[in-house]
Amino acid sequence: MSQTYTKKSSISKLNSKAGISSLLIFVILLLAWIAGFSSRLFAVIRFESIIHEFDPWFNYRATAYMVKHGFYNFLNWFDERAWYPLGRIVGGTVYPGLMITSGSIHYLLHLLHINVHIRDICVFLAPVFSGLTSISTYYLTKELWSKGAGLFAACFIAIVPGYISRSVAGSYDNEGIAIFALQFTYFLWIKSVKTGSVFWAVASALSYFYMVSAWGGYVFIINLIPLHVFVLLLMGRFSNRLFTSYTTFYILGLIMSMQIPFVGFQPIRTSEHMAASGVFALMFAVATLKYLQSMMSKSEFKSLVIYGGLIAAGIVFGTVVLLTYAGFIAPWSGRFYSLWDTGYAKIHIPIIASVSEHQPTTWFAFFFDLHVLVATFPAGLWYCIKNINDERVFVVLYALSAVYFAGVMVRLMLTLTPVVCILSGIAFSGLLELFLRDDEIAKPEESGDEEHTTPKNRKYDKVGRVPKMKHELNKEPDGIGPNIRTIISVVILLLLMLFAVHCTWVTSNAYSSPSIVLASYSGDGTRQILDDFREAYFWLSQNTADEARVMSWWDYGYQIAGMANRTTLVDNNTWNNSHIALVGKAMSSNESAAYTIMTALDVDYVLVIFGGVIGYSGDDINKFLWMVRIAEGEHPKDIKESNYFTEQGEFRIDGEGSPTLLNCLMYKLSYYRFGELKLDYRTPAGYDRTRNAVIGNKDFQLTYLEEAYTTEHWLVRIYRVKKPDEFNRPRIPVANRLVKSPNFVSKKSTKRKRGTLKNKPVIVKGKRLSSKQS
Amino acid sequence: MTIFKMLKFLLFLFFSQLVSAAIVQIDQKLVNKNVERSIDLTSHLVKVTAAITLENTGTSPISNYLIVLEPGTSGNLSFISVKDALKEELVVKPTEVAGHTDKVFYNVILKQPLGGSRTVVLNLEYVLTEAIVPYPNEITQKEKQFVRYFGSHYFYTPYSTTKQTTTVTLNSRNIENYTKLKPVSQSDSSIIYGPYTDVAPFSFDVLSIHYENNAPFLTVTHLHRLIEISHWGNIAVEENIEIVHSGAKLKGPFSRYDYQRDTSSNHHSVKSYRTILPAAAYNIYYRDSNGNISTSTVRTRKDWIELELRPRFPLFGGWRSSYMLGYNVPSYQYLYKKGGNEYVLSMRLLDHIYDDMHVEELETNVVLPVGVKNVKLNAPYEVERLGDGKTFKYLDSLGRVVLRLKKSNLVEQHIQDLEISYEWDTLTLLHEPVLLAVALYVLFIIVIIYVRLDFSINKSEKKE
Amino acid sequence: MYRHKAVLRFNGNKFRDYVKGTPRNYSMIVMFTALAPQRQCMICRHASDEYHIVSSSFRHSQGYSKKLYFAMVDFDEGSDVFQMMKLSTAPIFMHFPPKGKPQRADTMDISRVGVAAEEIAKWIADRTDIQIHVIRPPNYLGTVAAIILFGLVAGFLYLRRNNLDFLYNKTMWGMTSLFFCFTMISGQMWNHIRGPPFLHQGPNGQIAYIHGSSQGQFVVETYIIMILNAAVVIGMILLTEAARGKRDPNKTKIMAVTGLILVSVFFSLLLSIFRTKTQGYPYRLLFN
Repeated sequence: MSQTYTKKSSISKLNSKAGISSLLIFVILLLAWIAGFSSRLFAVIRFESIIHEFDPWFNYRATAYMVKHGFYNFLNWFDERAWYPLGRIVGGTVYPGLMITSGSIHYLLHLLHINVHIRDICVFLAPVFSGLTSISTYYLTKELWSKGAGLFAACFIAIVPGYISRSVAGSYDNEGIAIFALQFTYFLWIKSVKTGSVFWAVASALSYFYMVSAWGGYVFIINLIPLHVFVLLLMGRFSNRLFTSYTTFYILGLIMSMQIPFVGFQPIRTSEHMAASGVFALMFAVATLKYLQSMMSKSEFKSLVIYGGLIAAGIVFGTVVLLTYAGFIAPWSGRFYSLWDTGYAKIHIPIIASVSEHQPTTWFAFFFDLHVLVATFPAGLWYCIKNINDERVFVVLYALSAVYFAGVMVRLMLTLTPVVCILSGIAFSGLLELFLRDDEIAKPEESGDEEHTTPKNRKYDKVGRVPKMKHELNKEPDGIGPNIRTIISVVILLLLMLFAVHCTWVTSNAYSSPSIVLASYSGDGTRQILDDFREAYFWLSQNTADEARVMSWWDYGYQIAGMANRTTLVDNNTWNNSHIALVGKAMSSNESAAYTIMTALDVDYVLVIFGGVIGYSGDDINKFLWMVRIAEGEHPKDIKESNYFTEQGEFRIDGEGSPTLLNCLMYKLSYYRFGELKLDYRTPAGYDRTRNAVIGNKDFQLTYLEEAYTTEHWLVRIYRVKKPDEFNRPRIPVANRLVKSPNFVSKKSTKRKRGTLKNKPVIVKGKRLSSKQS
Repeated sequence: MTIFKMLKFLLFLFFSQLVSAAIVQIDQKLVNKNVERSIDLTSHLVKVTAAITLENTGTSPISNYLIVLEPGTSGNLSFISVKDALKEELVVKPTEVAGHTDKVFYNVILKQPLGGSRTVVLNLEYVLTEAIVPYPNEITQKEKQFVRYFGSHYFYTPYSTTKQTTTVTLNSRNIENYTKLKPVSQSDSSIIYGPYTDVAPFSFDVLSIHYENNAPFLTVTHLHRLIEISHWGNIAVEENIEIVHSGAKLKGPFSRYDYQRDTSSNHHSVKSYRTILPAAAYNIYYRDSNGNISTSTVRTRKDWIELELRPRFPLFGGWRSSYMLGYNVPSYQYLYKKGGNEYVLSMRLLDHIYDDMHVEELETNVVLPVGVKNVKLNAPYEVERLGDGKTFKYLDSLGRVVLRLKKSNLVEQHIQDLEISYEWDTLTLLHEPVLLAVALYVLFIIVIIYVRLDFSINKSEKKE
Repeated sequence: MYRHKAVLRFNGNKFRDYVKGTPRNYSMIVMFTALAPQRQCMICRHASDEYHIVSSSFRHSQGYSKKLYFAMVDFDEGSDVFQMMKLSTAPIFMHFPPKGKPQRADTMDISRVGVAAEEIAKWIADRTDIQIHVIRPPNYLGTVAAIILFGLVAGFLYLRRNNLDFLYNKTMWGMTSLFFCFTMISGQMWNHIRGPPFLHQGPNGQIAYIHGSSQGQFVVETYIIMILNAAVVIGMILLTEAARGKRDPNKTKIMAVTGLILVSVFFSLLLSIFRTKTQGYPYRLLFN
């Protein structure tokens, strides 16, 4: 009787405790979501609900297209407005996950007649998904360590700048949803490794499928999970659970990932995916051996392992090499290759090297994006290694690989951020769990039996429920006085507070500019909005012919397509290097040579970005050397980088600058009539504020182009390419003419010295001149 | 009762038949004793006002007065009205006149028939659009915009006119040339023709003026106005405006440098214009396909709200722009309860966009609340009513009726109130909140059931 | 001329004979250098290696012809040539066309493009229209090093095959991983790719350890950051261990206090270094 009673009461007590803790977890996660969401809204509040930067404009345009024309038309979409005259098969060259996600949200809301514009869904998608990310991070950390650590990790990732940088409102890019997919896949994977259930493995494969559809970074998953399995095998931690989950995951993941048109057959044909299949084969080999081991004697088994292993390894290696050689398996692509051979891109792929986010990472960037986490996550890593088990092997590998990639490329800081949050969460929760528990200490724990059983079973597994502190609890006089305890807790909380304000500061100052709307603050703090980009794009959209073709550097391709809805030659999807090089060549040639290229490409308008009036440093002249370099890569005969430097090897736009530079198209288009402009009384006319110099070539006219529009602050300048009959061709010397005009012989004879008009019209006053005169 | 109503209806039918279809004769007894006409050419609209003193030289009373449009201007006529000496509006109807089928006539029905040898003063006002044509029609940035106007020296009328003068007002002194039918005098920026005496009916003599006009030649090519009534207390208005500079087209390059140096206010390009919104307007937004038009600002004046709309780029001849302007107004100012379940909405069919505006095509849509019945429409002037539409707003399940009205060629004088009355049940207001509450309730129930019950096929080992 | 050598060594006389005498029927690429150890010209050595790669690539290529010869003049063998050419620095690559005098572009701009063999080949192609496909002798050094390392590890494992417990030594693995993390987060990869100076010495002799802008860093700076990060981590671990402490109270207390000091002081230092590199950063801890 009494026993049952106590049991019941303990259950109800447990229930209510579980109720409170799950309520607490729910509230904390909700608050994390809200905090994460609202700290991403700086740009919307300061400016407006608008799509930021470059790539998001394409994603937005594609989403809008999908919403308008339906999913299947989107998959078959051939975009003739990009890469003129080549066009782009959009359906087959994008990761459609992002568009499908916001498209389905749009569809659902409209089903309920909540008429939200697709633009607003796109703008707020990333902040909303940041909440989902923090929830999945909670679950992942919970599986790895404990609920407390999970909550810490969830709160960290909600506000950490390294992730916010890619997910502010308006930054409508693949990464915004991909990090959620990444974390969720990892959670499901860990769950399936722990349980060995097919259900979780299938779920993780499904989540992986979503990740594949969303971001090219899925390659990280498909290499990290096999690596995890491989290391587990090396550590002798093979188990049937692992076998079930990996084989299920791999096969389903492989088949599903091939359903994405853009991925296609890559998973079985490129080197990036080969590790996964290798581990898959290895898994079977190990499983077979384990099975045989139970059937054979030790010596037989030994020889089998040695010979069989050698032969198998040889065959696999030979096959892969052979297939690679025969071209069935593509070698590493440039972008991935540059991750390993860190100097590769700099020499061979200027188009990758020219992007600032492909640069290596300074310590400053690490600290800037992660603050206190960067200095504490190694502690979490330390404890994970110290208390290793199957799933912690995973997080260790995740941390080590991600920290390497983040070191190579600033952009991959994004993949490091979640794991740093997890590990710091572990470190901080481990610390605070110990320091903030004095009031709980008196309470006896009913987990005594568990404590007795664990040390026996536990080799390296099953430390998941932090049993390490259990038996220390009863040691009441624990050496650290309550004062020190309080001080330490306060200091830790102070650090966390500092982290929170740092995150807000960084988000507000560094990551919340839409970059298509610039703001300048005058001395008295009033804000002036420089809206030149939209001004120019809107001008293009309203006042040019619908099929007009606009040539600009590729950075602005997506924006022109998205905001001006005009045909572009090159854009941010830099798939065709030679086409970009052609545009670069046009920009770096002189006017007449450029005109030939432009007429060959049917260019109607040329758009350049010029920051000299307001001191905007990201303009085309500052990017110009990359144009020259890329052009030189394809046309080494015509364009030579050295010609654009002075004798001292400097890049100067003033009078000292090289004549090639001062006469190239880009220079002329940027500085056309700028030489007459006096910005203020202190500086001479034609003073470039970005480069702090007076321009070298002031007084020139354009022959083949005319200014069509220049925005208010001269930031965007648009020129119209004249048709062949609209300008006076420069005189070609007779010797160089292809069609030689017959020598003109004057028919003037001495007799008829007075010039006469042939068919001289006879003018009669008051009568209109009729066209035919007899 | 019903018979009476029917009778009234029949009478009405008869009367309207009479007005519209009946062939009106030109009564030569009627003479324009004095016509003082003024033609305002300061903007891109031709605003003609004429004070006409009529005399009935006959004996029998006359109740109709005919107005005839100058040849070739019938398509340009946007607005016409006639007021009597007391500034009261008279009924003006288009009509046809036997023997003059090529001309467009308007029939004015006088308040009281004009008795023999009596005189009366009528104030005619009409507005022509697109009657001032830029000439040359392509100019460069630095050139001035010159336009030409063709009209008649004489007041074009089916009656003989005893005496008439015409004052033409221009907006600049710079007149290239003008026809000089004596007597004529020019002072400053106005030309006075006349007085001409004893002009025969249908006299026409081409008047042409070629002068500088840098007024903003703006034309709204399409205006889509959406009025949305919510009985929760506000009315949302949204206007989609497509605008074009209809003056002389810009030829050659646009130079920002020259544009910045040229600080004179008198330029043919349009930098900005003012839109006047109702004083109670709030939540004002103005955006285009690329987002908020950050160059524009809203100022609150005493009796109205002024929106200084500065398009993203200055509008030169031929340049277009389009944007969306929206705001909310509290419904108590425009929506009245007429007793019982009947409500009356009284809102402008067209609202101010810029001074001297010209709208080529207007479509006004009015979204009525959910579940309205018995919708009646009372338009201030003739509009085309397109078939009703249906739309769904937040969480609607039933849909709302949309009234769609259309009219082309409008000017400022068309800013008049539209009245829509309908019957509506207050209880339908609760429809959506209840729906939402039920949905949430069901959701919570499901969650509770899911959490409380164990759906797993086999018991997990942990729970022994 | 000499057929067997890819690069000809010239002294003053030979230089005058083969290079200065125009017109010739061949182009001459001459490297002016100072390879003698006492000259301490590190870059000369490197440049010379690259130069030899180019010349031997040319020598063994299919496009080999007598239109182009490679030569070098060492300062210690032909200082008169240096005087004649009015050169005061080394290394310098010059092209002597068959006809006429070398122009400005006939001197390779190594300060801008560097001395990599590919760049030299590109410059030669630019000047003489002779394309040289650079074939580097396969760098066996890396492979050999890898094999040796692999062999050592394998040998070590083999020797210790009876006692492989050290592989399960978590402290060792932990240390290694932590070290790797510290390397990465302190920006060593950036150093590796960009090759920044060790530290900056100003014109007045003051030494800057910390790069002023957020875009750059010095090598020594990254070491400092590494130490700071490591100290914070050690502090964290000490704190945790102290709280968990099973040891005697005094030791625990010392551990806790040390940990606290490590965390707070070194993190404050880190923060203050960060502050110096960020304009307008408002937050700080302990130090300015």
